[in-house]
Amino acid sequence: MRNHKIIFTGPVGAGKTTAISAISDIPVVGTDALAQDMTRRLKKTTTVAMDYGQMQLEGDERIHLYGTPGQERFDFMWDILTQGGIGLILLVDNSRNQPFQDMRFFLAAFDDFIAEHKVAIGVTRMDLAQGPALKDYHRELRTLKLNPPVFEVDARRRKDVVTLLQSLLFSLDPWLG
Amino acid sequence: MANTNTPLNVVLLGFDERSQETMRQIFHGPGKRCCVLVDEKNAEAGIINMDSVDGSTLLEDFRQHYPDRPIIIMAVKDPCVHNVVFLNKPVSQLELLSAVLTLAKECRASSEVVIKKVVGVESSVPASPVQKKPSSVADTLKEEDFYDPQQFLQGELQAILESIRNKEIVIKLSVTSSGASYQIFLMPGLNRVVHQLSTVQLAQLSSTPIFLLELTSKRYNPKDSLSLELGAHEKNLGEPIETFLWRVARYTSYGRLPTGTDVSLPAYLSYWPNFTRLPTANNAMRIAALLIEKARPLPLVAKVLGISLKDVFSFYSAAHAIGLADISQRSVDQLMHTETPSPPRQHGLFGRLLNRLKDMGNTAS
Repeated sequence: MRNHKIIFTGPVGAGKTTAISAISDIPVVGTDALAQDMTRRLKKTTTVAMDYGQMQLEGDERIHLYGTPGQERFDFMWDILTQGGIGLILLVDNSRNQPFQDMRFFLAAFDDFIAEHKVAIGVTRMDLAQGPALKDYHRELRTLKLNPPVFEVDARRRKDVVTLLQSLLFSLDPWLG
Repeated sequence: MANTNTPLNVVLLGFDERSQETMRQIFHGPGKRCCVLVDEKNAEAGIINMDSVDGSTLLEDFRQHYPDRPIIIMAVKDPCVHNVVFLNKPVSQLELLSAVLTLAKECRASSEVVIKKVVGVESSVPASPVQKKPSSVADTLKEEDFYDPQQFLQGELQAILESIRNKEIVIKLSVTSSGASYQIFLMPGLNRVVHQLSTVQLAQLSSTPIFLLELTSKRYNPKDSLSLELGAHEKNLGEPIETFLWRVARYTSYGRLPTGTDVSLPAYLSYWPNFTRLPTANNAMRIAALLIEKARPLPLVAKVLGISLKDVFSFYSAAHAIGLADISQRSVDQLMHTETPSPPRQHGLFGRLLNRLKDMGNTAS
């Protein structure tokens, strides 16, 4: 059996669990716990270890979908989860106070992985906030010398998550047909 | 640069009063953007009725006096005259205006060439000269592979949006075509366009030459603009401006490129279009990935991906309309014009995963 990994990351409440659920062939295995600390203000439960979903390809090949815990105190998990990964999906919650700061934080945390592989960024909850706009994200990314796909994403919509994943694949392999 | 939108000065020769009046009405009405009737001396082109008693003489005289001026002739039977545009009577309004528009483009294009030549003599040599490389595809492209956005609704929309950029003002654009009227509300403050056009209607309006459309616009004051925007926001009406313009440009382009696009030079994409909010199109994501990776000539993109030029041209036209794509003038981008695909080690896996994603009902690639 051949196994491959795609990692979903981003801050608490950005929609990682929902996005994995939207495309997983199996019910997502979560490690939710009652939220403590600041997270409790955002949602009742939160992921403390990881989320896990799966996509079955032809034959016995599988893509494992891992969602990282959003809270920074679980960042020791991130390195473990990315080992053997083929690409990174970063979800950023546009309605949080400082979405650019969030984006920069996660891009820095995964910079080695991104340098070797690629990242595609989904900006969620754009309907809940007046700004920033996608072009502002691109401007911010330019300062980091990055030009990844950045799409508006509703993590509940399978089509959005699929499109984001496709862009990740085309970034990894522009010759894909 | 010559203004390609300036109406063409035309003289009518050999027409009776009634026919002249009919044509005057056409050129004052739907054709007012493309043609102005003037006397022979001030004309840039002539329209001659070959069925009039002295039709042949009028043609000979006009050619003798103004050998460089283009001519449209009208007749019941084709008199087989060289170097003229022939219109077979009875001539429809659309045929007449299309012929005049073609002449106008040719006249403006030739004057543009002259201006460019003069400028070329005066300008100094650039520090990093861009050497155009020969492109066999570029040489084979014809006039019909290009379109002038200014001659369509696309140009009008772009001009209006540019004029109200960063302003919280709503503009209502009323468009009448073949007796049917449509209203388009442009709301830059909300970044939305509100309309009730079906896909077919928008495609029809986008592909109709602007001289056949009747356009009027109304600018709302800030108070009324705010009220309209609030109403649209509450009811979640319309679509993002980018999405609307992208669609209009695709319908207008129909596999063609904006006039002046040099396909022998590399094209670039500033950043990825927001594909989750754009209508799906053939190979759009594949084209975007290649152009993001590196500026490439458009024919090379088509060749490498094994897709039609029309798909690539449509994508470029839409991306260009929303300000994402352009032709690179940087000499560093000129270096590699030929290349062979160099897929990564996991190419097979990515292909299988892509197929799985396509099966999930998404056709955005």
